Amino acid sequence: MDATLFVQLLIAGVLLGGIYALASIGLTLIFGVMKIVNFAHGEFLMVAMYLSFWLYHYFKLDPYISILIVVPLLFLVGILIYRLLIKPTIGAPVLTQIFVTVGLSMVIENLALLFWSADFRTVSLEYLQNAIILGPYPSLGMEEIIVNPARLIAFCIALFLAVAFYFFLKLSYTGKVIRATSQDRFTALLMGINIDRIFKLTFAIGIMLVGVAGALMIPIYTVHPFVGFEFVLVMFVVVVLGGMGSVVGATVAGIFIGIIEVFSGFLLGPESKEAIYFLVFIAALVIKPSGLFGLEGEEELERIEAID
Amino acid sequence: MKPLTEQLKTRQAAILCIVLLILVLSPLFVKNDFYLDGFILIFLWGAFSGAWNIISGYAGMVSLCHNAFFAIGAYTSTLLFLRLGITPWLGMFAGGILASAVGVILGLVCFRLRSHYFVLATLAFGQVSHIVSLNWRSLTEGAEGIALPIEPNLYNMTFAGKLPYVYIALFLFVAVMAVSYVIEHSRLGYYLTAFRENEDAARALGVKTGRVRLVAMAISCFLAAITGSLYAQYVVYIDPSSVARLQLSVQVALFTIVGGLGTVLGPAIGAMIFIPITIFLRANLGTAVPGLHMIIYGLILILVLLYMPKGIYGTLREKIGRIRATSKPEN
Amino acid sequence: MLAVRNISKFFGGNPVLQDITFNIDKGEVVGLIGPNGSGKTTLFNVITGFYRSKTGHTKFNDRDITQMTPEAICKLGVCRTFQITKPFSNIPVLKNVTIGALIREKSLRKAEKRAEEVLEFVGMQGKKDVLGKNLTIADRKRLEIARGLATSPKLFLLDEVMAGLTPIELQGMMDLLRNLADKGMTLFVIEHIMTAIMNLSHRIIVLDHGEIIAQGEPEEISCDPNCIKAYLGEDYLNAQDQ
Repeated sequence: MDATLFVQLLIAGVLLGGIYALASIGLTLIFGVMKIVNFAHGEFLMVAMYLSFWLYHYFKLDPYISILIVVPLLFLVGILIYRLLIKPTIGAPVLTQIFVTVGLSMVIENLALLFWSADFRTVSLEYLQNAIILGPYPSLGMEEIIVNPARLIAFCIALFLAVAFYFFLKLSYTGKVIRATSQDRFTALLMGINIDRIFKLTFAIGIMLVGVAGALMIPIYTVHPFVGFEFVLVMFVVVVLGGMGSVVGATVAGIFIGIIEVFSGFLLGPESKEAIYFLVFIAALVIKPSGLFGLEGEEELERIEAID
Repeated sequence: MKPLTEQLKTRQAAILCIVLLILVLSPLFVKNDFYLDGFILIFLWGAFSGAWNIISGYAGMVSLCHNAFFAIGAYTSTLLFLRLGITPWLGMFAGGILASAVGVILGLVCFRLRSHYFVLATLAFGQVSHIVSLNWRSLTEGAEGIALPIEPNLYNMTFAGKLPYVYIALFLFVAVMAVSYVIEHSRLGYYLTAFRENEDAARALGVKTGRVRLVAMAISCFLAAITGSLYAQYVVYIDPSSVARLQLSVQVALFTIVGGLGTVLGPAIGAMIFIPITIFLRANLGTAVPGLHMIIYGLILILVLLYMPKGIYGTLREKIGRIRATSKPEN
Repeated sequence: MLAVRNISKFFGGNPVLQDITFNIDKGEVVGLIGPNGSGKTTLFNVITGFYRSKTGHTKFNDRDITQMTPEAICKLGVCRTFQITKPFSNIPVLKNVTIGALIREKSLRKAEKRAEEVLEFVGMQGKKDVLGKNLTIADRKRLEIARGLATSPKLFLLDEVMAGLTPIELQGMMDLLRNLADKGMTLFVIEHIMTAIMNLSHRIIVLDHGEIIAQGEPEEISCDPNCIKAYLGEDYLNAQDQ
């Protein structure tokens, strides 16, 4: 493999990974704070993609502008879903939590199928049609490198949001409250934190973030009712690899998975690329289940608490 | 008090016999193939759900990769028949053993993971299995699928009419329930319950929590594979999308949870609720309203989990148990 | 019967147990006391295989159990209860205890019979159909003991079985333990209720900050200055001397 190809693939992988990262940050946040695995997370991605699509289709609204609509809308949707479905399952057995979100994903997917049909939809923006060309760099032995502008924009916005969100969590009061709740729910409660409100906020933020990812993705990917399912699996891989609850982890892992997918897609063919990152996933679960940035041991079955 | 419980037991046994008799005899009176097909699907799905229930319900390790074991069963018996001429009656046992082996290895690797992570691991494995079945073309013919020759005779496990399939499926259905019953009332079942209720306490009492779960996994995978083989024999055409799709796992989970996780009759009841709904919707709406049955499934699942988490049969059993307990004379 | 040598346990860099060495002989009732956080339950966890010790070893009847799993250790005859009770909540008391009995009886029926005998012994036969989650604290403690007894232990580790009991319940529990001791069972008991443990034990081990600061007969211990210092503080000790 020559240098050009390598760099080409690398860039493609990083750009892809940025999107995965943004989509997964919401998921990892929800798990970190509420200990809920949201199987329906991909469906909100799909809904956001459709939303952007229809806004473009009917109002010629640029998807990047439609983010301004998607964000508050999905935030509200997140609050609604939390109140209706998630809140009743806090404290219920894990099976209940998991399958409520599974049920939700079934409903959302098939409502999309019902209303919008299985046709693939895309948004094709004129100003994104011309590829960005870097180079050539003869001194480095590289020829031209092609970058997909839509992916580049998506990556930049995704990275910006990820970093912004990281600092939000780190520096703002609300962010600290969220982190406290994620570390020790009981103590946070004792400190006077309204856990219900934090959960509601966290869930809504999580849904909102994946919504932004969706709006960023519609110029790149086609949307159909089951695209959520395709992506949710990757998102789980990213979240576990990065460590459930770690925003930094999700970002790093997202980019890592993007790179793996692009390289294995090239080396092994498009059918096998999925298998590779699933195998990475299983390997991660076996070797260090808490992920790159997760807390050690939180993935194992509970140990006895020694009070004395 | 003692005579009452004994009365109840003989009454239960009598009801069981009557129900079995009805089940066994009623297909003989049904002439319409459409309904016979419905019976077969109910029995097959009931058996598959019952198999899933053993590891996910009794052992408490929720699996989303049972599609893999179903597929192993379907492909193993089919390929052994087509390539080596081995009768599916034997081939399905080979599939069962293979599935058990795979399941046990998966368990050895993943049982130490906490519930969420275990489910995700099985999800990944289930998805990998689907991908493998699509891409390992030399073995599975990939997306094209494999068709079984239709030469009806006993050796081929292929029959001209639907009735023999009904009875084979019924036998499997009852067998899975019998296995569940035996497990529930055996040492294995007690130990699985102990693990589910409180792993640390179980270990402190000498329960080999690792070992009992592996046993449950082996049984569960074996039965799932047998169901897969039977399914292959009935539909005489298998491909990754019909036997290896992840949605298969979700479906058995759905049936079992709504019926009653961790009970003998729960999976059966789940199948008996959902299969007729699907058939009814498909018959009356056809493809006019795509996805409607899944929307209904999803809503039922959510409603049951929120308001009747033990499932229909589980909740019923609890209510009856409470009534019995309060009506018992005080000691 | 039980020989513990140089056991230590660290959580992170924090030493929770340091160089623990002691014996327990057959038929003894040994009390384990110490202020909160001294490592008593951690010691139980190490002995019974829930935690691994970095150093030293534990031997039960001359058999090295240091690396064994909790299940295997129970099979050998060492059983323990939990400070925060862990009943099997959704099954009746009888089934709870039967699970314990199954380690010795292969047949379910025989195990159930043994369970009924044990329930009779601890005085809970009337509650055998009550679900674990519906038991009172006192009954949960009794259930822990009953379950453990069903495994026919040779050495029984009891972790604060008297905590949270009313005086009447306390008396009942003491009678039960005395009954067990009289029958020759070897007991290793963590307790905070001094009157109870002093009355019951042949010997006391005192733990503080993960180290054994005293061992001996109850009368010796109650006068031991180290113990007084550990529980009540140096000022009290100084006040006493004056």
